[in-house]
Amino acid sequence: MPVTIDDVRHVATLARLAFSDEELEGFTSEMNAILAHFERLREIRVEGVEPAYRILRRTNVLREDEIGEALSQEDALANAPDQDGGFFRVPGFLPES
Amino acid sequence: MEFEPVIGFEVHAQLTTRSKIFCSSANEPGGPPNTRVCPVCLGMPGVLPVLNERAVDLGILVALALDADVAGRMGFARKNYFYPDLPKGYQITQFAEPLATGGHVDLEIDGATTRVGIRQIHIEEDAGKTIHAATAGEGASLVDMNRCGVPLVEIVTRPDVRSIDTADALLTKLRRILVFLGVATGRMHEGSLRFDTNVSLRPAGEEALGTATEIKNMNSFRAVRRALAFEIERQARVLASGGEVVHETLLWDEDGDRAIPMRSKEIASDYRYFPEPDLVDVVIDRERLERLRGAMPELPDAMRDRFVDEYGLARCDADVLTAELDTALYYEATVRELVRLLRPELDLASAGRVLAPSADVLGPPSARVDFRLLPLPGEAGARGEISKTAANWVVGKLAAWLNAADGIALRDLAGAAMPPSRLARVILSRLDGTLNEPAAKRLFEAAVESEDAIDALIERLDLAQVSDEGTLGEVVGAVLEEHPGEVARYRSGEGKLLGHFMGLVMKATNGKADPEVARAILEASLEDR
Repeated sequence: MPVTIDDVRHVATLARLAFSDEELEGFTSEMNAILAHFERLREIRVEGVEPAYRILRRTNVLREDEIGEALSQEDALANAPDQDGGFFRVPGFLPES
Repeated sequence: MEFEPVIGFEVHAQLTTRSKIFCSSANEPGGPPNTRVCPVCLGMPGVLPVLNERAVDLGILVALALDADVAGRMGFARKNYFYPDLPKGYQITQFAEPLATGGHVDLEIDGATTRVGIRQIHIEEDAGKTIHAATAGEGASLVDMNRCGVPLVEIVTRPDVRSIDTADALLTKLRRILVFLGVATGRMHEGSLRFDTNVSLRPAGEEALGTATEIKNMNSFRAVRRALAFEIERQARVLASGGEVVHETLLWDEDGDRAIPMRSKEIASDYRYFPEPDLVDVVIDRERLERLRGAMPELPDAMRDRFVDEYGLARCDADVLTAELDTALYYEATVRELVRLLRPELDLASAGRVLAPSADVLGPPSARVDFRLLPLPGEAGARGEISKTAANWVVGKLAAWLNAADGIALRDLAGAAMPPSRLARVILSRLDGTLNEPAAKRLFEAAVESEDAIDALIERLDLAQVSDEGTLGEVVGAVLEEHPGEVARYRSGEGKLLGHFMGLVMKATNGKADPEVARAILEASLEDR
């Protein structure tokens, strides 16, 4: 199923990216080319192979429930463009209209 | 037209791990902003999450308690959306490979059992906290990442709920199960439990489902009740006027007591889930399951039934005592302390669970001695008197005191002014006849306020009951002498005056007369004259 320019526009919106129509068309054909390449995977016979969500065979990489060192508030906020009383200060957004 | 609501829930509970789910920052509520954070939970570039094993175990405990099928293998996924409290731009959650599926909760409502199905149980990370306070300044919000990465268990129910009362019973039961398991604190005011609900209406008797709306952001049972009432009424109005319910997400506005549609911009209805490449799968083997099954604490229904069997309590008292785990633990500790006072030579160290600030539910289950098997002095009835009197005190005077002292938790009281051992001494003074009922109540009130020993308080307040027949006989004689008119009326058939005489005797003894002895003497004296 080929990707349409509307699909690309939708994904761009979700990613908060703005593109010109020209750019959107360019991405559309590039994505379709990539997908066509992946179509070749359909030729592989997968009967009897367990579906896998990831390629690593390792499992159960777990850590003990122990508290480690925290950053100081100063360090945590060091790269923040704006801060206020120990908080990150961000452009206002209200969840409700 | 009559409509039937069809309701389902997503319940999010913060898990009681020490550290966060994917990093070793502390998992504790409160604290100065951005002090329980590290590069991982702040979403800094190049960091890798490592899964907290205990978060997995606590999630499995929840699944086992709800009779769900625990997956043999589970994995994590990224849920992509932008919000200022989500520094990575995605939440690590479970999607295609959840921890468990299926399961159910049985609710007893008005004597009938209602079963609510569970669709899925999974674990995920919490987001940070945003403050839209005026103090942030015009057009600004403040963000605290302390909560970011706190482990959550999410329980997704089937849309099996048909009324607001059933919804209330379901959430109350789920909260109790989580608290009894020790996997969640259940402290709603801290936001440790949060609810989203899906609700739709259909004409009564019809099978086909109507269009549902989702309401987010409720963190109390009251908010859920109000939100459901609001939305059911709104949808009924829309449908009754021939309109159509629009599938949308609403945000519960606690202060405004209303549900507000979220702007479509804020809802990424397309989360583009994909397998989390930074985490490997978790295989949940039989050994782990068996270990957790063995560590499973007693669940609310089982504990209630045990209270009826073991302590000989009425079902309604057992219900009240086991409504909150702390109350149940306090009760059992009080009984244990009473037994200790009555039989100091018994070794009760291992009897019952201990009321500790954080019971380690994953530790070995503590051995306990069945109350029925304790060698207590006296007749068989004396055993029931101990357990029932203790129950009456805990659900009666103690609960009343806590209600009046709005805001003091039983756990705090137990840790300070009134540990179970102290209440046991108060109760014992009543059980052994040292005090009468009103005096015992005064002793309790004094004992909460004071640090004096119970015996010292009884002495200082001069509370000890007067049971001596000679002393009470003199008091009764004096009272009857002073009230010849009433005595005459009593003798001519006004039997209810006995209560009046009892009152006078109590007054004359400062409330200390043993009522049974006093009543017997009064009745005998009134016959004599």
